[in-house]
Amino acid sequence: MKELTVLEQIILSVILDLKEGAYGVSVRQRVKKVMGKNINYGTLYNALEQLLKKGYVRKTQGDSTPDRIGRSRIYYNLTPAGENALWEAYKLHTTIWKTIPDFIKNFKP
Amino acid sequence: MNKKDKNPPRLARWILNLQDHYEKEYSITGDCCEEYKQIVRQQGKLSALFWIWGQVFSSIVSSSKRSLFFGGTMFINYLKITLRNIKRHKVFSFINIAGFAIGMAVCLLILIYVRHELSYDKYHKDEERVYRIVLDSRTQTANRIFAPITAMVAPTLKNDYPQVEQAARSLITSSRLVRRDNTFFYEERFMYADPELFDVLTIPFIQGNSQKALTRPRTLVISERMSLKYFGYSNPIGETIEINNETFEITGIVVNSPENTHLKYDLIASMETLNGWEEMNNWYSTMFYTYLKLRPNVNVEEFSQQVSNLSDKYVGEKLKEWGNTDHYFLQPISSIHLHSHIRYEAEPSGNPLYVTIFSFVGLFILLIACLNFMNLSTARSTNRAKEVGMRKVVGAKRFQLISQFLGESLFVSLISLGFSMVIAKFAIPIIDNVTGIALDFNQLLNFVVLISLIVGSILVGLAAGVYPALVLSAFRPTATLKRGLRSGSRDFAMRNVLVVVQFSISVVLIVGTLIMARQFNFMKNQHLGFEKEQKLVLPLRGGISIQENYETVKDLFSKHPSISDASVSSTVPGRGVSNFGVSLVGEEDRKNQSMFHMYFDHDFVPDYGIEMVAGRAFQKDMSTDIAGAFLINEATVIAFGWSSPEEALGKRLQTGFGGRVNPIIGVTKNFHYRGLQTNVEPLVMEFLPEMFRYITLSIDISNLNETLAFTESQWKSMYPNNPFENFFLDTYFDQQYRSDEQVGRIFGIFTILGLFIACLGLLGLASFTAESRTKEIGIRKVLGASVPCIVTMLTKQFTKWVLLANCLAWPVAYYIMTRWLKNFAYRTDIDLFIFVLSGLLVLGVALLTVSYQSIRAATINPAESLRYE
Repeated sequence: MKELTVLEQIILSVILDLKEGAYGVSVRQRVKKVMGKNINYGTLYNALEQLLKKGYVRKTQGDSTPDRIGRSRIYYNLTPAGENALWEAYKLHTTIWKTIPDFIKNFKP
Repeated sequence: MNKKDKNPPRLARWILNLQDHYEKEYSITGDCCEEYKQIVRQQGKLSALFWIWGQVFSSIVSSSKRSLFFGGTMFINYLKITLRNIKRHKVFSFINIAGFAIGMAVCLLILIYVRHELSYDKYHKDEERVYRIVLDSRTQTANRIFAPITAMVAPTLKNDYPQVEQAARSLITSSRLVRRDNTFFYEERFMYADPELFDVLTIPFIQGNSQKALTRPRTLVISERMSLKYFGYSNPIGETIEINNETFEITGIVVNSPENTHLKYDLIASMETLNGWEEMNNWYSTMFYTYLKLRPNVNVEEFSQQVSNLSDKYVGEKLKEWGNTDHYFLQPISSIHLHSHIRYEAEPSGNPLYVTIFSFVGLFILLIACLNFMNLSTARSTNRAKEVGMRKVVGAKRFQLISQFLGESLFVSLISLGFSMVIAKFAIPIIDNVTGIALDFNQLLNFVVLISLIVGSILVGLAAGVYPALVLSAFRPTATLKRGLRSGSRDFAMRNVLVVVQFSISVVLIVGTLIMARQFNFMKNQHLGFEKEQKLVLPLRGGISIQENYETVKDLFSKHPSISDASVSSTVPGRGVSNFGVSLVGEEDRKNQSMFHMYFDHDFVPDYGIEMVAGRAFQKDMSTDIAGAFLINEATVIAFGWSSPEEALGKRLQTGFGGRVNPIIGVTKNFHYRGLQTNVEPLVMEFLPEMFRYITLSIDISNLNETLAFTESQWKSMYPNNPFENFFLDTYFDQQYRSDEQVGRIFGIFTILGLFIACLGLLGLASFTAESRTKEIGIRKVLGASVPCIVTMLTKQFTKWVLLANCLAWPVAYYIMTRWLKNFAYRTDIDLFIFVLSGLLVLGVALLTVSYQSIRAATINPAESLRYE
């Protein structure tokens, strides 16, 4: 299986968390909150493109609101493969942090 | 707030929308608009605007990253197409790249020049706190600003003003004869200086201690260059050297004087040496350049007001008695080179006008090159139309096409940058040869400069590429694929405009060059009021005095048959003249005008062919003439307000050292003892042997080598310890125009290059027009048109453009050149003829360029051209 970048992992988890409400604006704002720093649409879309290519995310076209000058919302959902990948990533992280020796935990730069 | 206001700016939406991929896959405009409105509601319009433009720019960056990473195949394809196009259309590519490269090379050279001019004295440590203090001295009649000031100012500054961290004086004298054993030379860059000078200015020591080096009398600090010249590779510290027969001990070696300082040095002697000299202890002798360093955080405005009257406390009463006022003011050290222009500068100042003119010339030439590129790219759009159509059919988006074409122009401009560096490198020695301006290529090899060059050429590439890219990417696939593309009339008009702009610039440059050349010619041929031809001048330097024996010395030389006459003087035309206060005895209200002085013997006036308008010149048999009479020039007559030269005769003046009072015995016609940049100002002349520093020999140049050999042998017998030096008066006098003339020459070179680039473009355009009208020409010929008829048809439109360009360029050139000519007191008129000549020149060159293509097109056999597809 392909490794996920940290940004991809964050995006996957955000989409999963937002359930039905995951579209451009909400995803960007949530990712921004999680990362604690600004993320631009270009960066977000480039990462999403990777996830779409890998088949972890699928898009559905939603309705437009008046705020969007006629453009429809694009909603994102995780595919089973995406959920699986996120789960794998979670397992990998817990393993890493379990096996890590204590002195590194105490080591604060 | 109305509804329209709530949406993001249209331009931002348009750019977002251009990025097709993001728009189609992720609805970027929708997302951005929605969030924009949220931000407007929560944080106000301003932050929303900031936000949306931030998104616009970052999305452009991301989408180009994306096309590099995800669209790797397309990128390679673009590169391939670019290279193929360059290879296939060799002429066009050559014109594009050569034009760009030459234009950029000109810009690089100008950049080096401008950077050098602007870098003067910026290298000093804390240069923003270092100032030179100068004197604005007002008498009742004159107002003069002196760069050197009295010796008392520096100590006063240090004692009276706590804001001053350090102050130092430097006294620059005339050249000195420097001798060590049997090596002796005249050295020009000699000065006396306070040890504090090394605290104020940055002059790094290689050996010795900057604090102690100049504390004792007769100590000397020399530059590395001098050390090598006089001591070779041995250590000079502690050794002695003779300067004008005084012995100095060398206590330090400093790095060579940089080129970009107004105060160049080679030998720095201690100011202590002069201790006890009366000029060091008065408030009247303005001889010392005074530099000071302020403490950090001093309010300069306030301080300069305080120092303005710094001398009043000491000599205010006396000055008031004379009716004079002295004000001091500060000059930031880095402004001296370009902006000072006051009396007795340590070296001739630079001209800020040239910095401006050259910057514009550089920009214009680059503009010509850019216009070439735009012109040729759009003209060739017919060839690319099918490619564009094909790409669109298989799914290319407009944004992709735009980036493809922009990429191409970036590629061309970056390649050109590479070539232009090479061209600049090879052009520097040529420019040095032709103009004498030495440019330093290494100025460019600096990280910041290189990066800004690359950024600059990317910007140039974008600027030149954006119009063709928009035009090319706008083609409709159906139209282009069906039957090629006829160039639309709108594009055609645009191209005409571009050509007109190019040639207008060329005409302005040519008019400028011609007027400059005319002015220099005028200055060289203008009658100066004296004979400057066939005069050999021998300067007496290194402490030679001929006060006692000038008659013997003159006889020594003039006994040669080729030397008709000899005269001695304090200075020669083109060399500096000294300046003293002059007052008219018996008329107190007009006392103390400052006037130039010259001292010469009785042979000077006849030898130089100076005409007298009243009275008589000095005479050999009148012993009272020596230090007992004045000559004045016509300007002096006017300055004193006399109605005729005759009225001046017999009037008594008081002037010079010690204020001698003597009668005026004669009035000379005005002659140009200084260059033609300045008016002939009042001049007082006196027969004073102690001042004689130059021997002028009137020689017959038909026998030059032999005469020179004779002169040298006579010199050697008189002064075995001084090098024999000589110069010809005419070349020496004309050297005053050297810096202006250098600028004129380099301007000429750039003009030719500019015209060349414009013609390259025209050549490309003409060949394109001829090519695209091949069939039409064939049909015309079949129907009976003659070759001249077709050539006329093809060249007519170009002629029209060039004529229009002339009309636009003339007023601009007139305005600029009138301003330039104001630098000269005596100037040539701006003749309409010059404008017509430049117009015809440009027209001629343009027609030549075009006619080659036209004639070729017109002489093709119609049978062939009609078959051509």
